[in-house]
Amino acid sequence: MATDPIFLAQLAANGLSVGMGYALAAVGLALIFGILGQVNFAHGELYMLAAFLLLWAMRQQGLPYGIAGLLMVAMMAAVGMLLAQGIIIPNLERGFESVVIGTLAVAIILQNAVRLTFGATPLDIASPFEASVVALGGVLLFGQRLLVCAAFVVAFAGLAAFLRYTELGRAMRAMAQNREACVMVGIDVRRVTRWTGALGAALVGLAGVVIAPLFDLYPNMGTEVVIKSFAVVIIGGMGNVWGSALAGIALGVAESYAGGLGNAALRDAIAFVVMIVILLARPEGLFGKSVRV
Amino acid sequence: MQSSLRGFLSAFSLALAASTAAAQDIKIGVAGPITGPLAFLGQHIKWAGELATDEINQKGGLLGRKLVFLMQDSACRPGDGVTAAERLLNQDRVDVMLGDVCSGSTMAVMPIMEKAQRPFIVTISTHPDITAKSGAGGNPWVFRTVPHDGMIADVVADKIKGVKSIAIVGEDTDYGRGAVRLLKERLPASVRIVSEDYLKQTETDFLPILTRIRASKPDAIGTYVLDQQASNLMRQYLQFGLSIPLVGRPPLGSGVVAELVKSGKFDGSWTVYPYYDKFDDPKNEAFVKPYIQRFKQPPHYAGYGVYEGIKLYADAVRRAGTTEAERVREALAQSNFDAILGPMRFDPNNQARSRIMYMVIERGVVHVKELAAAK
Repeated sequence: MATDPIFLAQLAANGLSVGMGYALAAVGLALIFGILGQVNFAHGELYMLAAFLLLWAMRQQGLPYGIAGLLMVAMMAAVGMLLAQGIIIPNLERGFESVVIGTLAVAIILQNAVRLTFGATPLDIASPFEASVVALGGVLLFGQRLLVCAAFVVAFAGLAAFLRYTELGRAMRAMAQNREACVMVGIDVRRVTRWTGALGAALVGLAGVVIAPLFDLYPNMGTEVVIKSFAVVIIGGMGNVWGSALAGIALGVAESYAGGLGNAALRDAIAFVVMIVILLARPEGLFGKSVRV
Repeated sequence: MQSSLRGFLSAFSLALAASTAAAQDIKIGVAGPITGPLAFLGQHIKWAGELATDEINQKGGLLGRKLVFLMQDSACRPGDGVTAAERLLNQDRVDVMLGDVCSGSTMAVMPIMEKAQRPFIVTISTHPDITAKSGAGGNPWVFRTVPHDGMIADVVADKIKGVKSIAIVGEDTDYGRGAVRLLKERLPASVRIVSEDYLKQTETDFLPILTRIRASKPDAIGTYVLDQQASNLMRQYLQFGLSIPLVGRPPLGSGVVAELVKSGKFDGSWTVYPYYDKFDDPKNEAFVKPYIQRFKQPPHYAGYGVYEGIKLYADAVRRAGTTEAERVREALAQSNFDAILGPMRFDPNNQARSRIMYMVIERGVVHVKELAAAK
């Protein structure tokens, strides 16, 4: 069985799609760390919030999945802007732990607000892509997971173009390099902070929209995502967007083979074994620190 | 909700204080998952607790006193379970406690109950060690109303005989690993285990496991995960287009997987469970109907356990004529309680020899095929 090419190819296909999902879920965290030097502990809850808002838009407002999804990405951008304005900007001059505590508080509030509003019974989002399965020479490709891959490509290409070609994107990269220098040359640090928050939240919102329909929704669903995201960001190099992309995919593939050829416990260990090895060998992560394009 | 209930109860207690001077509320406590991946089971615990206490209170309470149901969050973890139990015992001064969902948490609370000398009725957890350590096993305060995993494994092993090869998917907890170990001890030599996977309770992604199962083609998938994980497993199973029955203890009767079961793709899957809400029986209906009416959901097994546990306690208090812990404990041990699945009596280890349900899916419907007697 271990040498069956279809089995091995299926594991590769699974790993790639899962890994792109990891990267997509983690990039917002990497972005906010890379540009603002802040750790967003509400990252997983933003993912959870996007999923529940999507469910609300589809069930209560009757919007189709595609439109509701796009709307959610926009709404999450607004949430991210609020988070930056309310938590990050007032703590810009304080130590990083202020933002850690602030975002942790937001995480707890969001979790309980969702529990009170939607209840604790697991719910699920009916995505039109869920039922479609493409068989490619015996290898199964799942519709919703293909959508995750597509979202990954669009998000990272869009992010690259944005950081390279727009004035705001250049300002973000400048901030990643040296915030004091940005102030000196007249870059509005607060404005860049707000937009970075919006961009980070929109990206994790997009991740929630495309990944959440794969699984059940429950108020603690963000916890699992945030743990994986931290692993991806640390392996990829704190704050390095492309490092996160590669680390996410590599992790997804490694987990898939570990789980497929070994067992589930081995698969769970992979992320943290790799993380520890990387931290021992290259404490700055695989790809250094700053945001590069 | 909480405050209106309290308001109702305090008004009620004022009225009662006039007639019986020393009347105090009888408090029932439970440490259960209000947060964490099993929070929805905690919701059923709370609902069932409110339903059972309200029913008793509407009939004049217990010994003329009102019943109050109190719940603290354990997140289904042993450490938090202990903290929650200490709070209920020391601050709220509960008269009796009910067990948690997770066996690990329930077992951590057991010695605390022994020290506090209050009855502890385990109504959901199924780990065999709870029984082994109770009654004649050492801790006289613990009573269990539901069958334990060893009793259930006896039935599973009996039903699984015709299967040649099986892949095990279980949760990586005392429950999952423990239940599978018990099954393996009972499996006939003709059944080959092709793989064993244990996933943490929060794992949602079954891709690698299902990919391997698709290639190894076992006759059955021995499923030892709880509702939410089963829902994710079954959804991904459908995408893989598998037709390998889920056997052992998949939570096929759970509302969380009801839609998936209806698809008909799980026909031939079977499970052995302590309870199923659609069990056709007047006594069961008397519990299920008001439950659905009030909470808009059929009761989960966890809710059933709590509901019966409270009724069992009330029965013991009535017979003892007091809430004094030692006397209630003696009365509990002598129970011959009229439970939904038949008379409930305890063995020397304070384990109820309850009957166990064997259920099979046929054409998208779960059927209770047999009420197996506990060995």
